[in-house]
Amino acid sequence: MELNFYLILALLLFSIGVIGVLTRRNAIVVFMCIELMLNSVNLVFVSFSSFLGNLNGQIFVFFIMTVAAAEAAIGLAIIIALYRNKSTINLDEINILKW
Amino acid sequence: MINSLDFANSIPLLIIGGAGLVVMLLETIFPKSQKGTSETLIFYFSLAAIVAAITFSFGDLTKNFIIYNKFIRVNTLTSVLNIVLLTGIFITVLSSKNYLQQEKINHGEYYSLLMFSLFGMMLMGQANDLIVVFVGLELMSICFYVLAGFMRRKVESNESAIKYFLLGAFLTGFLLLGIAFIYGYTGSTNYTAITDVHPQKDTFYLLGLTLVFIAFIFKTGSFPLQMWIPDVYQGAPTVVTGMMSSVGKTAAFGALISFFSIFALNNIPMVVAMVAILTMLYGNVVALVQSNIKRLLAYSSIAHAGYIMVGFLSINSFSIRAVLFYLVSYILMQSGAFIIISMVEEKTGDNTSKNTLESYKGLGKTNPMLSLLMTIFLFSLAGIPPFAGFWGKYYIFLSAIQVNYLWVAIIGILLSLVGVYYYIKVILYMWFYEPVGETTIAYRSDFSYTAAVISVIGLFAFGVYPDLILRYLRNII
Repeated sequence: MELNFYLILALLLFSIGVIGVLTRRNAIVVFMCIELMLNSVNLVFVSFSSFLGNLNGQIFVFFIMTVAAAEAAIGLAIIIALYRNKSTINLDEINILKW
Repeated sequence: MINSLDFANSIPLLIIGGAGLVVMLLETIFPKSQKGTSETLIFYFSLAAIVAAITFSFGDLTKNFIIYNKFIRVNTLTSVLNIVLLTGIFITVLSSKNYLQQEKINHGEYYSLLMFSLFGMMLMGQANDLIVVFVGLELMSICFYVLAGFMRRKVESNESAIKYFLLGAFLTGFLLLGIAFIYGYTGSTNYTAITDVHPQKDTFYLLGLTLVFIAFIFKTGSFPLQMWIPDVYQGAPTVVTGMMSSVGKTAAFGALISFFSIFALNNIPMVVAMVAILTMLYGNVVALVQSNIKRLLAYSSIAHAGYIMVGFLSINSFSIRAVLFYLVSYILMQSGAFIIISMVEEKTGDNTSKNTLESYKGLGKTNPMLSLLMTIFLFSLAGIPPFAGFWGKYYIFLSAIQVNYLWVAIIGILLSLVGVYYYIKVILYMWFYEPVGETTIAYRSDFSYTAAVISVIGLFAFGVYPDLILRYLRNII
């Protein structure tokens, strides 16, 4: 039954991330919420891995961490480029492209 | 253990991955004063690498192996997909050179990013493990985020990149959660191991499959998650848009084919039918009122994603062949149309006045060659014979009829008739209107013309004689 506690914690974190992405308007905060989602998935993988007694899940976690780091580098670079041109990172003001 | 056989069977992958690294080095080796030389060298080197990879992929067509400790598959399906993706990137590289110079973004990284994204797309298609699917998908997406924001001094390009990035990363979370549930239920992420387990219907397992399917719906730009497509495609540099909308979608659909066949998702035709119909409806109807050509083609690409989705009603050998045929024709006509747009694009003006349909008025009188090519691409997109787009739609709808989904096929055909309206509108603007002011062509480029002509020849050849492709697809189980 220990597995359930870990899963519930991970899903709670995931939901907090999703709600944050949907409600917050600052690009950096949205990005932090996405990182929270990815890390909660790491928790799911690790707990499954320990429950099932095989290592596949823990190896997957390393891949997720690497990709998340690459994504963070790219994401912050894009946010900086946007800030230089527009002097804002509020997502509500990013609205040139629409029909 | 990895042995030499693994390397021998994955030469196209190795060539493209290596070419990406070499291009990055070439860019740094040359000093700034020799920018012209390094640029030309990188351009021809990328083309040569892609041609070599295509040649080796043709050699892989008859193979059927699972290599790298059951992580990578090599068979007819993946080799055909590789050839299609490589051809798409070949056309993109060819058409990019002069566009990049024109926009003053002619940096060598562009080509290495293209190569790395291509590597990711090929991995996605060849994956035999959910880890490889994830890594390939992220490699592709991360390169796309950078490419979409490649014009970093233009605010619309930044905006397109950040919208794509935030939504793409958000959906990655769902993809990973889905994979985690599948792993938790089956105890493995490997396709071979998962098929051996014969997973039963379990809430956890189905939830995992649903989440992964949602991520693929996002990547292919199908109905509930299509809202990013027009914004991202409009803001990104035009050649990049052409690449993302054709090659990127093809890669996502290619990975979806193996996902559907491995997890035997033949029991959800109603879900797929609803997704396909709503996607076709949304794309075709909203495209009717667009006044910007890039946005118009973005909505039309949503509609095309819907047509391809019809092929997923029931995955069997016929529908896989239909989907692949459609992808071949789609890649040629979509990237071709965007090559023409990149050439017609005005040099100046802000985002709202750029690429309007108005600027295509009277193009047939000032630039008959460009207009002729554009007309062929639009006819093919509309599905008018004798171009390949017609046979693509024919086989897709035939595959739906074969599995007794006649009503989906009928709705699809009716909606594609709606689609003819906006393609014909552009053609009428080009040939039957007087020019408004002076139509300035952004630049003239032999490379871009060559790329467009290659696409037209392909569309025409496959349209007149579809067996040219179909005979390679026969071996697919």
